[in-house]
Order: sequence, then C-alpha cells, then structure tokens
Amino acid sequence: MRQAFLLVFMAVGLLASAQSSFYRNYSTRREVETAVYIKNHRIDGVKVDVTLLRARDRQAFLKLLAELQIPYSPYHPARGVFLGLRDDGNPRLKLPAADGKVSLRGACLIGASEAELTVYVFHRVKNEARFRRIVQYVMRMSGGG
Amino acid sequence: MNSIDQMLEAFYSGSIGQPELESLFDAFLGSREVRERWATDAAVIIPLAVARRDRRMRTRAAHRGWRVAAAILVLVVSVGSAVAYAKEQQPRVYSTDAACDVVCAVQWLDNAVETAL
Repeated sequence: MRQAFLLVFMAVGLLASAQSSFYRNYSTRREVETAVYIKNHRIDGVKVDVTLLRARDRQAFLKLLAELQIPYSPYHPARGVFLGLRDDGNPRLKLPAADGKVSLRGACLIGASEAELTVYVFHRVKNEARFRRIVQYVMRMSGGG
Repeated sequence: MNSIDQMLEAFYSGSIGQPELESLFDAFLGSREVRERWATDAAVIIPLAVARRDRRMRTRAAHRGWRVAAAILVLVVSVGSAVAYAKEQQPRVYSTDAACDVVCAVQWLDNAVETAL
C-alpha cells in the first residue's frame, strides 16, 4: 500500500515539477528567442535544473538583464554574476551573508553571457554545498579565481 | 491421549490422520462407562472434525493465495516505482527549439558559462 502511494506521489510530482515556473514564464516572452529547461543536469556530481534563455538581440538581452537585476558591465571584475531568484522569476537577493552562511531555500543562481546573448539560471540549489560546487564550476569555466 | 479434545487437537494439527483418530476414539470408547456416554456422539464428532479440518486447510490455502497475490502486487509496484524513479532522475530537456536536445543544451550552457559576463 505504501509503495502504491509512493508511485502516485511520484507521478503527481513529475507532472507538477516537470518545468520550472521560471521557464514557463520566460519561454513565451517576446524578448526570448530560444528557451531551454534542463531537468536533472549534473555539474560536478551535483544535480541541478538549468534554464537557458537566448535573447533575440542585444536590446532584448539588456532588457532581460535589467528585469532580472543582473548588473551589466563589460568591465565587471568577476567573471559570472550571481544573484538569487525565486523559481517564478521574481528577483530576491540571496547572496551569502557576511558570516558566510547562505540561505538557499528555493534560491537560484543566475549568470549571463553577452557573447551568447544568454541568461542561464541554476535552479534547486538547495544547500550550501551545491551552491559552492556550482560557483566553483562557473568560476573554473569562465577563467575566474 | 486421555480426552477427546486432545485427540481432536492432534488431528487438527496434522499429528494424526483420520484412521488414527478413529482408532483412538475406539480405544477411548473401550470402557463401558465411556461407551455409554460417548458412543453415539463419536459417530458425529469424527465427521465434524474432518469437515472442520478440511475447512481450516481450505482457509489457509485461500489466505496463502491472497498473501502471494499481495506479495506479487508489492513487487510489481516496487519495481514500477524504482523504474519510474530512475527514469525521473535522468536528464530531460524542455525546449522551445525542438532541435535542441540534452547534448545541445549542455553545450550551450558550457559556452555561456565560459563567456560569462
């Protein structure tokens, strides 16, 4: 009986969580040329979901950056910019606190690439270990510290 | 065995069969006093005991059948759950571009991260 409930629960969970609300909200935007949602992607052994949004043009890209509150500067010292977002796309800062502790419940990590006109969001960053792994991945890939 | 209850218990438990039960009853009924008291009842008790034993065995068999069916159901649901869970853990892509599969999406992500702002 417990197994039957588990099966039903998983089926409901699958249906409910198949696409993030952020992906659903932004994939239909006029500014977005292509949207992709990768579920269960693994980065350095850490399982995350990823949304990629390719803007139609540079104007649309800048509009997305502004809307998602990603500070844009071609001379930004840190390669990769990280903010926290709720999955519905409403920005809410969740940067590490001064004591180094991170509150990541429901948070996302977001970055942007002007060369690709792309905004990418890592979802389901549930805990500090995952947060650090993804930060390390981005810093390593982008040639940063 | 000194009592009919003991004989019947042995019979129900399968320790003795029907011929043995009848022999025990005959031995039990040997004395005149017992015969006067139990002789007519013995003709009723043994068939009832046989019928009750048969019913018990049929019930046990039926319960066994339900247990086997329940075990098979649990096994099927467990395997199904495990397969569904394993499938759910695999990477999947939802895309506005049908041509962009998991490989394409991962490459796009790597390129974007590499050229991050």
